[in-house]
Amino acid sequence: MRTLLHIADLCAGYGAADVIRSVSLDVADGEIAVVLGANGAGKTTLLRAITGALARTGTAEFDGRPLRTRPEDNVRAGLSLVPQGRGTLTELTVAENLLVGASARKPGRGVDADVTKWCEFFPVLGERRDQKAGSLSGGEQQMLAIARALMARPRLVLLDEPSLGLAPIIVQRVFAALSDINATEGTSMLIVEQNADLALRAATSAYVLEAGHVVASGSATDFLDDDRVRSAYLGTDSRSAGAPRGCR
Amino acid sequence: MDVLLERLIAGTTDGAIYALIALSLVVVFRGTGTINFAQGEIALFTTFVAWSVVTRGMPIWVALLVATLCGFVIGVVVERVCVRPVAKRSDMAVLIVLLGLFTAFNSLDGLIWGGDTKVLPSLLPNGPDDYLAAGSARIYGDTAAVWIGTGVVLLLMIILFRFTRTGLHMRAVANNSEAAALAGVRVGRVLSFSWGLAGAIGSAAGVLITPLAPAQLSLLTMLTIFISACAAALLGGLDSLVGAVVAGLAIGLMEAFIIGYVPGLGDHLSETAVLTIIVIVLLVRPTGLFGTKKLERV
Repeated sequence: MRTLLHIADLCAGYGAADVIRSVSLDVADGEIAVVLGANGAGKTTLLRAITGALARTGTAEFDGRPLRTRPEDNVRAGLSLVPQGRGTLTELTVAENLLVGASARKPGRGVDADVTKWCEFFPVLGERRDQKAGSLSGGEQQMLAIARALMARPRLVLLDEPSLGLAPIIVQRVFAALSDINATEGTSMLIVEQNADLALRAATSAYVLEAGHVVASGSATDFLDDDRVRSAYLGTDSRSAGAPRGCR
Repeated sequence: MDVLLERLIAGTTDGAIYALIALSLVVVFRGTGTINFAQGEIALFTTFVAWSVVTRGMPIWVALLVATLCGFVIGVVVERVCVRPVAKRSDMAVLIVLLGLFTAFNSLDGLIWGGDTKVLPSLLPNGPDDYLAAGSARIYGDTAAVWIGTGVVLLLMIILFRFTRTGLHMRAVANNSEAAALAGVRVGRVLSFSWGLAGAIGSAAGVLITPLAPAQLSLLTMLTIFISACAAALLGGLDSLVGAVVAGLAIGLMEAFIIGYVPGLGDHLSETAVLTIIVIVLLVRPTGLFGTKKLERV
């Protein structure tokens, strides 16, 4: 399949210190790729560098063209990010959040139809259309953040730990929704996660990020089957899904 | 004439102007997170521009339009050229730049228009017989112009923020500018527009109030007005549009009543009261009456 996102020798960080060093990865058109890594491995930094929220060096190409340096321009090119902690606009209503998600598009019937579509896809958003996003639960806000990213009609969505802080049952629903969207809309996704098991089941290809480097890559099924990979890099077993992690 | 009624009218009029200038401060604060200390002087500069237009034989309505447009352009330029480049460095740098602009605009006014007091005509007929009787009080043209002007601006603001895409984007940026950018909002443009809008509102307020201002049109016109407007913005909560309007009116009325009911000292005491409000708000309730408390998850 065609490569949609091509990252090579990417470095980025805060101040003088690079948090991610020489990272290379590809996301094919239509696939779900997952980047696994522990706290501090550089997952969020990687995504921020791709969107342009953080300065980067190295190659970052989207659909054969270099990515821009500002997130709002990359949204226009078809690349959206669902940030860690969801980044919903808490003072705005659910419907307004979705409209803001369509900022890059021409306003009109198409946008209104998409608001209705995502409110139907996530019924809980439809029920709370006119409520402030800040009054939603964590899981509902995650769905809103995903729906808002999709309002831009992106070709690739980057998701920064969509499972963070959610109950296991909700995490499963979120991943089911992501797989569903990928299948029906053909939207490619790059998910960074600590929750290895669910992410690998949803994905086709996988990368492991450790201390700013990609230390392993391959097909998601191989990762799931390979106990050595799992114990060496992920340190997880299947029961870890949704387990409390750290103090965030 | 009934003192209560007369004070009520005077207080609402001053309060309306405080509300407008407070509103312009809030519009900027919501976007950029800074108080535009140059706001009053930008408004004074464009009011002088309005005076120049009038002295060239144009009607005051045209002058109001020119001043408002001029205020918009100055706002955009100040944001783009003076504020944005230093904003990355620190908030303190922005503050210093704005204080610099405060003095710069005032000096520029003196340089261009001189230090003597000028008279700007009212937007509505304002002769001795041009009044509406309200009970025992009279509402003259200049007062009515302030009320109508303020009403129109507030209506336009409500339409902007409730019903337009630009207003939605402004609210999104005020709420969380990074998340707004990630959703595709062009944050830079929103900030420029916010500063332009603030400049325009301030300029309209300047042209409206000058015929009624004790200092008429001089280099000192905006000084006390701006302090009261700052107090209003603070009391209202700095990021609340409704708060700016409510607090603006409240402070206008408070001043008017102190002036009306404290014999002899009223004039000075009203200024003291305004400054006291600033101190009390900052000490006791920094989020003001309507401001949102910033709760951040760390």
